[in-house]
Amino acid sequence: MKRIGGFSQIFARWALTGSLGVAFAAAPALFDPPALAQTKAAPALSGKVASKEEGAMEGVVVSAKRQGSTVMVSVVTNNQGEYAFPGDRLEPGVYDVTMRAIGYVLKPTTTTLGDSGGGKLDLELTKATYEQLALQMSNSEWIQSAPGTPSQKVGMLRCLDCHGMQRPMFSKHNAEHMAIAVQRMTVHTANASPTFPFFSQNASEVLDSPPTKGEADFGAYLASINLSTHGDKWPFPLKPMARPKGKATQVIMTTYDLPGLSAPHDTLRDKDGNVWVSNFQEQFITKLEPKTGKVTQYPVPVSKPGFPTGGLMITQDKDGNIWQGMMGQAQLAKLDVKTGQVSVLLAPDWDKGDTRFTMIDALHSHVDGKLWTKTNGGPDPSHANKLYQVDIATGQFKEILPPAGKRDIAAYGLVSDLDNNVYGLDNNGAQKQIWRTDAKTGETKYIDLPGGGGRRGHIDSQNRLWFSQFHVNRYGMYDPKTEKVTLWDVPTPFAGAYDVQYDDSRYVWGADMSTDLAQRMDVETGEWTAYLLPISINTRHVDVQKNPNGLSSLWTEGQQNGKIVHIEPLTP
Amino acid sequence: MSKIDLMSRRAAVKRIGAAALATGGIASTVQAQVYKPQEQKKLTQKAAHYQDGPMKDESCASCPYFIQPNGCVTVEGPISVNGWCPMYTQFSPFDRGAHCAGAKSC
Repeated sequence: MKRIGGFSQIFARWALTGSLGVAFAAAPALFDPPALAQTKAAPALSGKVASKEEGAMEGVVVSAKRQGSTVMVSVVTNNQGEYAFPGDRLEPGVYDVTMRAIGYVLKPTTTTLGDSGGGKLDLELTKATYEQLALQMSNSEWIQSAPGTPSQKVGMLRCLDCHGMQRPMFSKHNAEHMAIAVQRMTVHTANASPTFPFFSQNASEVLDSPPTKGEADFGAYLASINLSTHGDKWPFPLKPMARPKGKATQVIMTTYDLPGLSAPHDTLRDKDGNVWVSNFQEQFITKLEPKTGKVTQYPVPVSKPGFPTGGLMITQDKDGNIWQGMMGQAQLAKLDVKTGQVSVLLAPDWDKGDTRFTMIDALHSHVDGKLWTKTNGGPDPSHANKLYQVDIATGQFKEILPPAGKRDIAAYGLVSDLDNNVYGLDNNGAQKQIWRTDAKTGETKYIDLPGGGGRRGHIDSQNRLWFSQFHVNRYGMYDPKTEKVTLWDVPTPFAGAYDVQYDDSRYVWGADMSTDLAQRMDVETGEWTAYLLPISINTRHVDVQKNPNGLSSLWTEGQQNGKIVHIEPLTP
Repeated sequence: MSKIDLMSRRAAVKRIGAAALATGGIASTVQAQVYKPQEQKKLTQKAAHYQDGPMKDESCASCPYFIQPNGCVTVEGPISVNGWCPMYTQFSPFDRGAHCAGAKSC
């Protein structure tokens, strides 16, 4: 059996990948994302997908990636099992053709497309073995398949902060060892992952104590559903979700590789069509140019050696410059888009404790020249979360304090409104509140929510806040004019709704950490359409490409696989 | 579990190979210094619950975090190839998603 190389060598190689610091020529397979009308051109490649078990198969995601390219295009079979790649999406070349249909496999397949297009390729799928099925299961399918209480299932969503459900599910750890593993998860940094196993400064001291009862209980639960006592089979049926049907098959999806980046966290599409990407682990600001697939990385200097690199939220100010909250380095990084120069602002407590920036919002800085940001950690445990208003011209930080007697303004998501006030989305299932701070007075108002708090969101053109409720798996909308909150349950249970945005026309888009689905909800009819993505995605952010004259589309990122996906529906 | 183990390993090797390909062997020294990942803080052996012997058929030799001849990415050394701790995994660090790991058709 071939031995996997030492992790340090892998990591060093991976670091060098990121160290290119220059543009990657992507050799893209596609050209300018066309208007939808253009997709009616003669197909570049088409065919039928079938299996012995089902005959013609609807809802199979078929993907084509030109060899050497960083761009993959995907379409979905209709109810006749037919698929078709539009003529303007694939250029001539040799393509690897893959598919996603849980429970089935496809032998390695390539096809060559000539200058005249019109390629034909039928795909015959065969039934997956039990082991193959287990490896195909999405995070959500594991969570839905396993027995457990609602609390235990929400608890499993926390595994997805850093890795997929395969790791605990394929583990042979017994309850004792799984409790130790669960305890260890609490001392990794917020952006840790298997490729980035960073520990907090006091990790060993914390782990010298035995696991808490909660950690032991959760460890025992995981050990009851993994492979520790049941041989090669899981003690429950593996339940795949149904494949897409109907409208959910009418879509084109484009997946962009980000060479050298493992953990894109947020995307931001600018007026020129560039997609700016924050990197949860690498110390870069990244630009993807979808027209060419070109990726450019702008390195951010390190301020705190020994602390984790990487950023979380990315935003754009009134001058078009890009800002990113640089987590453990306690920096706000600013990219001057005209010069390509990166500069940093350090948090007031940057060199104390575990101070880290997460969120930053400058989208409405044209109102008053200010941006909003927040820190977690810091030297004072009794005041660990701090909200700041930053003057972009001077770099001065002004801390906004909570009302007397109130706890810290402890938000996860920050969302500025059209007047550059800011909403805080408290991702704490027990708090059941979000809040809004007035930009001029600094006064904070609390808004009650049924169920748990909010996670991330966006403002629409009517100054309404759209937000997700992670713990209770809902999309929400708050209208400050009526002070009314409207909530919608996500159809897939325990999805872990993460981010939501309205297209200012008809649809709300959202995505989550577990299902590999992009959800589109028609606010007029309440109809949901769930687009199955070609890859495992673990979304942390959505960015709607609005289209006043047609259908909106969605950009999102694979936080745990270094990819960006654009989802373009073909039908209302 | 032999089939699953094999598939995971193969997927890991493939992914690592892909990562090597992506570098193209090009690197700017200056840029690498700018980007250099910060030194990983390792756990003490006690905190990691490390033991010198294996756990059934699991040992450091088959864990991707093991560094030949006697080190580990996450635990202070020295580490035995026959040792074990609850961080043990057979998944490559690059196998982070759920879908497609090891499945040729994905």
